[in-house]
Amino acid sequence: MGDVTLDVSGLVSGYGRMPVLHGVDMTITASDKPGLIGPNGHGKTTFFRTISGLNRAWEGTVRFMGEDITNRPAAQIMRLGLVHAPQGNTLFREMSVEENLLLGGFAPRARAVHKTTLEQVFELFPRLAERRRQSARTLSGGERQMVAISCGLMALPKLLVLDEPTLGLSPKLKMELRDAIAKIVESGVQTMIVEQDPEFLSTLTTRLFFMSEGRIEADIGDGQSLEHSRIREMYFGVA
Amino acid sequence: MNVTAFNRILTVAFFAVLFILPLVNSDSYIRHISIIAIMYAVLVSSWNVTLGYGGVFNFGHMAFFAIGAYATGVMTKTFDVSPWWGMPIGVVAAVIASVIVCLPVLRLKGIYVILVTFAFTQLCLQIVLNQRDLTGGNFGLVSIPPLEIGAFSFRDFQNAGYYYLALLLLVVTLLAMLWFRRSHFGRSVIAFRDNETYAISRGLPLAKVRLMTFMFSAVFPGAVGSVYAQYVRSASPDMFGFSFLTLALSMLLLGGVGTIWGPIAGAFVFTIISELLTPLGPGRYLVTATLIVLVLRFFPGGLAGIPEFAGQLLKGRSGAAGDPAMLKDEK
Amino acid sequence: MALLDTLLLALKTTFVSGLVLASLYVLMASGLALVWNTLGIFNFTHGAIMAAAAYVAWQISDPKGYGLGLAAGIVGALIASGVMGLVINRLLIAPFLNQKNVVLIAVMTTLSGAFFIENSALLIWGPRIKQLEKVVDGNLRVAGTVISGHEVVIIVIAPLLMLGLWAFLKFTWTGRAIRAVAQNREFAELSGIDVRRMYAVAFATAAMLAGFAGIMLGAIRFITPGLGAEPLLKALIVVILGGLGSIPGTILGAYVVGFSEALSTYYIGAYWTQAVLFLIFIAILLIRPSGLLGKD
Repeated sequence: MGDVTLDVSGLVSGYGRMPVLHGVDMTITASDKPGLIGPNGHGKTTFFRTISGLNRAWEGTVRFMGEDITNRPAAQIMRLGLVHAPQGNTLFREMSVEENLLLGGFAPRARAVHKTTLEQVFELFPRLAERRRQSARTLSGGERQMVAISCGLMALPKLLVLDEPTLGLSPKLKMELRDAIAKIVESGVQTMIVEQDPEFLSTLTTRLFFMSEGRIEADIGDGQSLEHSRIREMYFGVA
Repeated sequence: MNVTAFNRILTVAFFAVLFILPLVNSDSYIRHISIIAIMYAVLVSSWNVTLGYGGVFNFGHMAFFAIGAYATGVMTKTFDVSPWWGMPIGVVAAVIASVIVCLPVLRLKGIYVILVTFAFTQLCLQIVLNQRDLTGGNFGLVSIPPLEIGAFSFRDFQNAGYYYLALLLLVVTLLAMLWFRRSHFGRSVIAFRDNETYAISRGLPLAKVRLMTFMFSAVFPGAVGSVYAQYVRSASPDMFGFSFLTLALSMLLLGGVGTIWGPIAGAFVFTIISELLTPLGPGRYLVTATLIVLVLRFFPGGLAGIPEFAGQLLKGRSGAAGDPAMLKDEK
Repeated sequence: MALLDTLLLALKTTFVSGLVLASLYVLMASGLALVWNTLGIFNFTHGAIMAAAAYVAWQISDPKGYGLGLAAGIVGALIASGVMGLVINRLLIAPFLNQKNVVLIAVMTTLSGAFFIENSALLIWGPRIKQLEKVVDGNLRVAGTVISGHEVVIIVIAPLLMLGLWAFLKFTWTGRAIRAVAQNREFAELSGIDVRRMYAVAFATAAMLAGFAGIMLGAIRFITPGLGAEPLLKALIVVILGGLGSIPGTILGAYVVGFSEALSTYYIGAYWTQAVLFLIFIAILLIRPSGLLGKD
């Protein structure tokens, strides 16, 4: 099984007085290729915002690589290697692609090798190399996603969380991104991918968590096949 | 006893005490402090119209006060107009100034409003300093004619005339505020604060309402500025200054924005505190500044928020008291 | 021909005096813009920092103070301004950043802070006016008008400092992080940037810019606790005109205000210049509510 990367237990969080997460439990080991699915508005983004320190955890604990990181500042959590690449519309809009990427590698550990990482990223997404001087504002949706993912890579993550990397993209772009993400996973960066579309995850993950109404409703582990019917049942309530 | 009746009794008691005070106490120092406190209460209550109910960060309110004072001073002293015209002149001048400052503000939002109105105040100050012949420049305008009725001067009996005139102004202000809160006009003003888009979609004319809000709120500082000038018989450039603005703003914020009694309570409490600190000399300003920051830090709801804060402490949940009804910050 | 000569002289004079004013305004306003841009708050202690820096420089350099010479005074005052900026940020800004109406609260706290600093200066140095030595003695004749060496220094240093500020924000890790925080606070946090630290750095930088403006000013005007009040107003106008927070806009605004003021002083007279400035200011805002280079 290997070492535990992320261990979340009983996590409760929300906005204002409204809880969104009602006690999330999740354990990921180093050998897992995790994915998270679930319908919109059921807490996926809130979950990531909470473990990465953007939202406060009301209850429960988050441990990363054995260290308790519950309610630590986001910048600190990120420096431990838990890197959250948010949806592509959140970038430094008035800065160039290159500046965005450099800021992704701001933390000291990443900064020391930022030149090499930058080359690797440009190899993965040649299109970003072409647009390195262009401001993020002027990019297309797909290119922004690439920048968001690349910013995450620049940080030398130990666990990279991609929050809906293909949201609103055309099927063709989606395939392109999937191939790129597959390369990232192959290169040995543990990556947790969040999607609404289980199809997309089938080749990228070995372990699927299904989140619904602020809880992990199903944990489909290694070896078990991902039966579409079960997922469909969970989504729509019909077999 | 229900809340309204209780409030009414409290209001009557408050004014009864203020009315009787000069009859039982003729100490000139206490008289002076009372007059100043009452005047501050008028100023701060009317500021509440734009800042509290309107949600418009108008930092020119003190300029209206100073303009009222200077207009009265210049007209009655230099141009020999009867002092009895002082208040109408002050009011008209302040209202005109409010229109001037409101015009650019019509199209602006949030921090821009603060900056433009603040800049307006400072520019008035520069003009006053530069127009030495008319305003006395740095030294201020002195020996402004006082109010008199025949042989009776408002200064007689330890300024009793000014005391009651100021008190009358406060009563009028309070009545005006009570009317404002209930009137159609006041409700439109609050509607714009709470949801501008919705208010516009309901057909409320933003420009007209905002202009009227400014003009309405400027009447009171204009009047009180005029009486103040006649009371202390001078107008000084300090009236446009930082310290005065800060003091009045803290009265409003610490008293509680968007409430009827908050500003009045803030004015009285703060006047008394700053008088108690007088023995400290210039050091009292340091204490005042520190006090303002501490209150903002620990009682964000103002004096009106203290009971709520205490309640929360009792319930064992420490933290901030409720925010005053204030516009969301806009960047 | 005599008429033409007079006109030419007038143009030269207004150009030189406009340039001096504009350069001063660049120094005064850039820090204000930096803080607004990064923290989203308006710092009313900016003028008070100018005054305090001038006093510190005087205290260190003047024979009636420690008498250590002007260079030591300038360095000491700049350090003091930076420290002042850090303290102000820590006490008056940082505790309130998470509150909903932080913009208004920050206006209150920084106004109080300005009040505090000005009265402290009064307590420490008394009401007697003081003046700093000029950085360079003597005058210079340029194109038929006289200009003091000190003013030449201001004209030259202002653009250089802006160039330095631009390079700092553009090419250093810290500078980039400051801009990042200004654009997207959350994403900055996710990138491992310590947002509060960047706020402190930006505030300290701005305070040092204010301090430098104060030192330059302290040799041209008399040092009083209120030394910074009028410059703060000018900085405010410049920053609004330029489009809040945009540094290029601020520089443009400074030159527009500086030259307008010089022209108006020459042709209409100093008495009405402030009113004329306000009119220009209002007119521009009516046409472009978010300033010359501001974005809506």
